[in-house]
Amino acid sequence: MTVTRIFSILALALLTSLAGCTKEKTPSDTKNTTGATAVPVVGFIQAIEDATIDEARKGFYDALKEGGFDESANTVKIIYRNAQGDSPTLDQIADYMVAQKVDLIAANTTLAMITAAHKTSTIPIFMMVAPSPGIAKLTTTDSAGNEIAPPNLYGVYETLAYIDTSVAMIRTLFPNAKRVGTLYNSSEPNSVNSMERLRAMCKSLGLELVEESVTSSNETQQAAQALAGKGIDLFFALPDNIIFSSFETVYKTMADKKLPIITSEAGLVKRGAFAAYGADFYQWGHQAGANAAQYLKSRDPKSTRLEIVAVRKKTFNPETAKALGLNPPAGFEPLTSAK
Amino acid sequence: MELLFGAIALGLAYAFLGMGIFITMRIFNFPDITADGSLTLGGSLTAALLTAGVSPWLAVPASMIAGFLAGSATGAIYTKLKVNGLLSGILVMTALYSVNLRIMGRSNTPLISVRTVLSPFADIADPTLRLLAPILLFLLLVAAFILFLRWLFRTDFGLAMRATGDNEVMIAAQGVATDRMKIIGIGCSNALIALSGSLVAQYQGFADIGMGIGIIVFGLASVIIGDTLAGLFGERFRIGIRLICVATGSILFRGLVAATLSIGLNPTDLKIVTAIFVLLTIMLPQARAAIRGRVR
Amino acid sequence: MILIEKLTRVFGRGTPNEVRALREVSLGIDAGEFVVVIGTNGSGKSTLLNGIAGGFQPDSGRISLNGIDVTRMTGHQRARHIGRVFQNPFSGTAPTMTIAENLRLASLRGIPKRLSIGLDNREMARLRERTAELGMGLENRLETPIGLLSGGQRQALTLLMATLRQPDILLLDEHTAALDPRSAEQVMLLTERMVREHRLTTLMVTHDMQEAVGHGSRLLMMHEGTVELDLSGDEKKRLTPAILMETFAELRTMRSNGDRT
Repeated sequence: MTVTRIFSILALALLTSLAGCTKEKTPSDTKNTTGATAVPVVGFIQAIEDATIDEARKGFYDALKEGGFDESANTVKIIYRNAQGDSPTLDQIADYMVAQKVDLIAANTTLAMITAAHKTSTIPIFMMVAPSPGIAKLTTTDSAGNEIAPPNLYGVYETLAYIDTSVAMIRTLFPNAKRVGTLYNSSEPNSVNSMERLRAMCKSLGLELVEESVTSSNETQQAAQALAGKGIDLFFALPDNIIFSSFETVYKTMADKKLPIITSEAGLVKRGAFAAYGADFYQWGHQAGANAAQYLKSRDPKSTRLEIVAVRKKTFNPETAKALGLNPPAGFEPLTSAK
Repeated sequence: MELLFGAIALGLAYAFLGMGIFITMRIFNFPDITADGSLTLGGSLTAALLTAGVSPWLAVPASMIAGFLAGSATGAIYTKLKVNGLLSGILVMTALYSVNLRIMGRSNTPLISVRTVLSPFADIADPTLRLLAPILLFLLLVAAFILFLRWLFRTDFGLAMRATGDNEVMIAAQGVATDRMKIIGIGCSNALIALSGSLVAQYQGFADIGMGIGIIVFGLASVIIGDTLAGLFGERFRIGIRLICVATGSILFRGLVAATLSIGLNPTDLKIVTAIFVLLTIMLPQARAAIRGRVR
Repeated sequence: MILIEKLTRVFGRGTPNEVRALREVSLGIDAGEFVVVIGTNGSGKSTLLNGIAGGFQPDSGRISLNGIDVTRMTGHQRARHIGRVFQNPFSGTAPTMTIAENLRLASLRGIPKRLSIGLDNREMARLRERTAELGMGLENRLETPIGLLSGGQRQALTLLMATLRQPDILLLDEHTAALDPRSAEQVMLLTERMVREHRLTTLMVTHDMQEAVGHGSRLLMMHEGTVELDLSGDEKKRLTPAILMETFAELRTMRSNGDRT
């Protein structure tokens, strides 16, 4: 009896360890045969499930394809794993990518980036939808007092400057506005950072900021209604997961009171916001993907570097404009149906 | 190998979560949901202290004390205010959310360039040894605590604690203030859970306000898998063995996650696969009995 | 000396369901007395025992155990003075813990349980000796979890546990009622022996006439919250179940004829 027990435990342990070692052979083998024609492997780590975050991944894949790296044409192999918001799983996904000896890691959202940076200092990491390493506290200071990001960190980041530009937009579009309402997520790092920036900007522009905080999308409706009832002139939507997932609720509440929504995220304009000036997640992922493709072609780390989001555009939603009785703002692109 | 070592290291770091849930669930028969909050409390307090330059070997015990206080709060609300056990845990867990945010000052604190318990290992040249080092450290801690708990539950005080969960009427008749015992017990449990939070934060390189969400499911799974293991060995009552099995359950669970990750299962199916695994583990002893019954 | 002065307990005071479970019951029990309490359901006998044990705060009255006023103390605070065997044979022992562990806790009744291992080899030997007194062979199974034993065995152990630390009073709450006849007899014999050997002041509640007649030095018959009959010495010895039944019937007719409110 004891023997069978010992055997079952050993079998279980063996199974799990074997499972961890499978599939290691395949990509490494192809690499070992001929260095030049080996199919590169990209490990894509995403921290959460979210439709808007997925846009960045789509942009990344599209950029790879445009750079000549297409899974369907067997010019690249992409391993995609999503931690679905689970902390230990995210950690193990990073372990997995390192174990698979991927050629590069793509990290979508901040936690994925931090986890990857902690696991490896050799495999290039291409970040997206995350703030600069300085803001994410990933930097170290060298002897000269400069802030240095991890050497293997590439991709595209965003600073809080986009807040400045999109808030400044309020003044040009609504010169008479006095009170701006906003919702923020107290548990999202980007959200809190952006809030502080927003407060500073509003103060400098002479706008009164009316805030409500939420911790989950369940709370959005009530918070939005509370704001709408506080006599705000317009709503500023911070780019935050909760706002994204429950945006329709916000839109409806504001639309009922004929309050326009200004934001920094073009994706929200598609869903009813009046105007936006800022990075759009698809473009963000695309830019990172283009950098990654460049690296894969040359395999020279110097061919790419960490950079700030390049594409920011001014867009507005013509239907919303009509519904609110507002004129199309000058210099803003109307939304096109195709993306 | 990174995947296997990672699973073992994580499993060991989370073993204390399992041990804590074991105490509340198996010894006190108390469904304690505080875990989601106290794990994060351990992580956030450790992160805040380490970032402020405090020695990791001070930060870790400090986190355990914080966890103890959180658990005691749950115990006090339950025994003194006579609030339903589940609700007591939920109340404290919800309150801890704000507490944790205030402790960190932000919702996420990376621990990349601060001194942690694992910092001494960063300079190891050999890559395999470098992966092995955290495992050895965590293994040492797990062993130390299991030995400590084994001793604790053999002391007169420990006997009284076990009896409180086993038969409250009996132990009250023996003169034990059961309210106080439960408060201390739930406190100790959450001290262990906070220890997990502290070690996990240092291992994964950051503390995040969401790191505890849903973590009680993982703790419960470790206990259940552990109990099934202990049952296989016929050791349903010896605490030392049962705790070792809980730690093993934690490692096996993470091993399962590693296996599903490498098999390439659709990421959306990860959670249902783990749920099915736990279910199968629970059914294992029943299946064995059924098969034996038929053979006879 | 156990002194109970005008103990009163009322359930649902002021409501239509008001029940006066104990009406100013006064009682004195000398050291070494073996008192048997008998009565119909609702007579207050279990409430009396529960009151002495500290299961509730009385509405009025006082309880003192050997000079110490325990009225305001909670159950666990009084445990130092009281040994108790419950009606439910599973209530007195912790099932997942071994016989030895249960006995160890009982020998610490009412004193602080320290952070040190009390159950060492020497203590084990001592407990083994005491368990052998039961004459049931349980001294060879000290490492067995108590949950695996029968109701009779657990009740016997509960009895032993009550004597490991000399109580001021031993409370037996219909402790054989839930056992099969053979185990009941065994436990009763054990009870007699332990009470005699350790000279325990005992209060035994029972509904079994045979038991009431065959044991104890004093008999109390309760009815609707008061002690109606108090017999000791030869008077008690002369009792038979038939006499008891008659007395019961008399009491009930007297009550129903409106002698008392």
